[in-house]
Amino acid sequence: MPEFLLSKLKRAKPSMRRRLFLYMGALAALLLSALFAALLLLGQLKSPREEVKKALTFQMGAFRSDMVSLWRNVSVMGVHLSEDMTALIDAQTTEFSALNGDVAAVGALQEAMLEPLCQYVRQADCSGAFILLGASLSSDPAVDSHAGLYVQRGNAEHTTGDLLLYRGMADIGRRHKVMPHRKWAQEFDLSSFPGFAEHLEKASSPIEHSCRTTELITLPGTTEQAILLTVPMIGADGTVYGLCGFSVNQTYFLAHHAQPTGIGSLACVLSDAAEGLDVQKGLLTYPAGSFCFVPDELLEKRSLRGGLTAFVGSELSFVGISEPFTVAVGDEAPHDLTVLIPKSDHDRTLLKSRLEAGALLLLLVSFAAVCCLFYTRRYLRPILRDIERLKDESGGAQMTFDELQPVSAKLQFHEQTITDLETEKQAAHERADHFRFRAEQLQSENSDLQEQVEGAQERLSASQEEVNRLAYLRKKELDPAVYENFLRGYAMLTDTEREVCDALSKGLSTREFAEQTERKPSTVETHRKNSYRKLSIHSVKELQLCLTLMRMEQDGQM
Amino acid sequence: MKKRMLPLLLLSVLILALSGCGEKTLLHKKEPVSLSFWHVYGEQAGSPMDLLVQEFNRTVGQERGVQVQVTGTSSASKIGGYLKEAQSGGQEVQEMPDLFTCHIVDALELGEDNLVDWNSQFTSDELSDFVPGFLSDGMAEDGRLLIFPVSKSTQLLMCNGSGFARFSAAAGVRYDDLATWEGFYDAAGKFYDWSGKPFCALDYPIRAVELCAMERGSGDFYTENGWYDTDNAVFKESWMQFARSLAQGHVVVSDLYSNTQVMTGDVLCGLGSSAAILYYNDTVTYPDNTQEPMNLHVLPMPKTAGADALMTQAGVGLCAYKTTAQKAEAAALFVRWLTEAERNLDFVAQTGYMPVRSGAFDAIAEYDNFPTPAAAYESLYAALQTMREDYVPVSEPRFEGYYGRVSVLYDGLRRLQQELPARAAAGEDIDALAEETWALFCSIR
Repeated sequence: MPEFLLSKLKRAKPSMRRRLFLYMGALAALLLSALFAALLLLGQLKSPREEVKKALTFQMGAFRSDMVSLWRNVSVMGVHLSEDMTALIDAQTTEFSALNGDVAAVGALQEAMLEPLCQYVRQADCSGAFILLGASLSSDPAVDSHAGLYVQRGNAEHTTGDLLLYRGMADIGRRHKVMPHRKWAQEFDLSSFPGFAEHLEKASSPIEHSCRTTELITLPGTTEQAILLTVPMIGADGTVYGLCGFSVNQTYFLAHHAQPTGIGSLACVLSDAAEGLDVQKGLLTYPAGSFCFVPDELLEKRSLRGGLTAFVGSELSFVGISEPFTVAVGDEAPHDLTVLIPKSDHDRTLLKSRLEAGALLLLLVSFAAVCCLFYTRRYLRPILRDIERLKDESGGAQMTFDELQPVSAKLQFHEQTITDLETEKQAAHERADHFRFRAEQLQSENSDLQEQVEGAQERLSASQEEVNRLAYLRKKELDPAVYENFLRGYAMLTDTEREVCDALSKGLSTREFAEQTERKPSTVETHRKNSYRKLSIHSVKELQLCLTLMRMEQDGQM
Repeated sequence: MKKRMLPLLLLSVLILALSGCGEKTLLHKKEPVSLSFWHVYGEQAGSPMDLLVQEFNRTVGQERGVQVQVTGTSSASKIGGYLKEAQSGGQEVQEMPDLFTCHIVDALELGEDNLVDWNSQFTSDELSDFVPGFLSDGMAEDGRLLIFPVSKSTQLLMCNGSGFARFSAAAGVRYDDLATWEGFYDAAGKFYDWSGKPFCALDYPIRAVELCAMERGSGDFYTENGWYDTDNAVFKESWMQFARSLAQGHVVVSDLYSNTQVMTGDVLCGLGSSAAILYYNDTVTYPDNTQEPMNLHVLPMPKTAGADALMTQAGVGLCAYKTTAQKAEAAALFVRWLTEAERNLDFVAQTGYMPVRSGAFDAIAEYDNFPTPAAAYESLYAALQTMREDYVPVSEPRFEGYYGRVSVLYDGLRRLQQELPARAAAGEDIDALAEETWALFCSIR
């Protein structure tokens, strides 16, 4: 059945209407394809997921670049700080271990260190700087605290020069206008600074390779969270004097590392590498003037299509990308950089993009449909209508397209010509039949006439003989005066009168002669009368006799 | 069938229309509005306010489409300056926050028209639940409520309990002796004699002086330009009492915050805001690194013997910068949530403030969720309860430029206190040295 239909379709010659619609459809499809391709080329029709990925990747690039700059700055400054402080310790002490329990010596050292340390805080991209000495103010070895200095920016979010003494001798701080922090303590309790003990233990030269960062720690006595970069201070003899370095706390990070972005709601996190994302264990920042609430709970990571990662929380979920990032050269494990947007925003973007694409396609299809309808109504239908009109020979109707008017006129002319020719042809046929009939009639008449002529000839011959016999007889009977008058009169006859006399002598009536010569019978009659008068005869018999006698005389027969 | 459907349809339309009318809001859950927020709660230390903001964002904020972001934490004395900087704009300056805490003076300097009038966001019924005096502290002269009370503080005396016990044992001074200004300055002298250190660091000495003067019947001593009438003899006498103690080194103007001086063992007690309790460490660490438990003991502010006691009524409130109606509504939502009775009680109990709802303070007597050390907080609220019962609250001055002048005065006193005790010890006349401080006071206009 289908083959039959196919062959039927192949054989079928599409109508002009169908072909025109087909062409129009093909044109619309071509236009749509071209538009679609152009939109694809111009990047207007991309996968929304890819768009999100691209935006987040771009954002990640910016965030990574910012982080590289930040941590390179503090690493380099940390190395310089270590070198400077090591030099100070070398200059101030002869035996480093003797510092333990020597409040005056430690005080003198802190006095010397505080101003340079403050300068470093002001110059570095940090919220604070510290020096942790491998010595304690207490001589009791059971006390696990270390002397040192920790200076913080007073208001990390504002660019003021105010500094606070978070750790160190308060009097020394006050003397240098570095007021004690509200949660001040004199010494470092290593148990409150996770990572410090390990960093001290692993301290080695070259110090550039011993830059390490702590996990995100909550600074003791506060809710402020910070990542601390440590650089060991190692004397020329290899004695580890302690650690120094910089801290970057959440407040500072937020205020000074706001991310440039076009994304409305975005969060950027520098966190410990872990299975999930816990912003409580990371430094969090947002675009300037924007905010994205990320709950302080562990967000479970799940892979999504297109290289994106879902960060799923109990109530809120996010979508983003995550990359490892080595903060300091000596770090054994990298941290994670994460940029994320609320999943609701992501879903909305996807939906919006899909709706836009759908709307665009719908618009294009509608546009094509409207175009087709417009062209159909404006051109195709009138053309078809005109053609119908042409077909219907309704030449009198006004054409929609002037261009078809000459065609219409020509077609009408041809049509008329054909009609005329047909009519003429019919008439010619009729005439031919008529003439054929007439010819047959004439032929028949001719035969009859031939027979009549032959009969007449025979009769004429008989009559001639009779005439000759009679003429012979009559000459003898004829009055010579009459004959003489005849001869004189004959000489006076006109040519026409002689023709009439000859015809009469041959037996024709004046009417017959008139028909043969297409003259009026009255005219012939007049000629006969004039001839008779001139010849002085009174009948056809006298004429025939005299003429016969005359011709016989002329022929010498008499 | 059609007859049944039509009433149902009409009912549905009516319900939808009514529900739409009932919740006319500019907030949209799917398009949350962000409010940047500067506050002064827990500067340098972190505070329950940050936790409350987190909780709000996670709950009501999430539900209603409001996100609050803490973008700045500073002190009540500095936030006004930062706000003015932000309002002026420019590079290196943070953007003006949508919501902030400040004093009424700072709010007025920002311009009344630039701030949301909370009267337009709260009904009179809602406002009637708050302590009227706290509300009036935040009102402009034309009645606009610019500062919404979230917490209120007053000044009181916070003592290093361990140190005081030793001092008490040695000098026979008891906490009860610190109930009056006379007993306070006397104890200060005894402590100085006993330890060679100042007894107390005062965060707001001028306030102590003026309350003392008022108690003594000085009458109104404020001048038209927002300073003090130096011809007021009672006021001067009150000042001189303080100045004599300062000149001898018995008391000091705190270098930044009195609590740090108590923690470092430089002074035995601090006279400052009740909110300072948030910052006290559990231990006192002396320069030689010896430590002892703080055992913080909080006492009411000293008063004038035989006079009606006065207490300062201080504390910042919440102010919203006028931007869009949506942000104003969002700010009101946050403030309404923040000042709900139970939440407000929790917040103030964690931070050492007084609750702002009428009658809420009584609930503190039965409150059992104080942070550690709970004894210190219980001591604080016992002192506050005493003051509420026995003292009359007095609002702080709200003259333009007043706190700038106060800051100049304190800087001058800090310079003088470096030298006056030594000169007094050298035998110079105490009254003459005190007069130097009065001269400094009089020089400020």
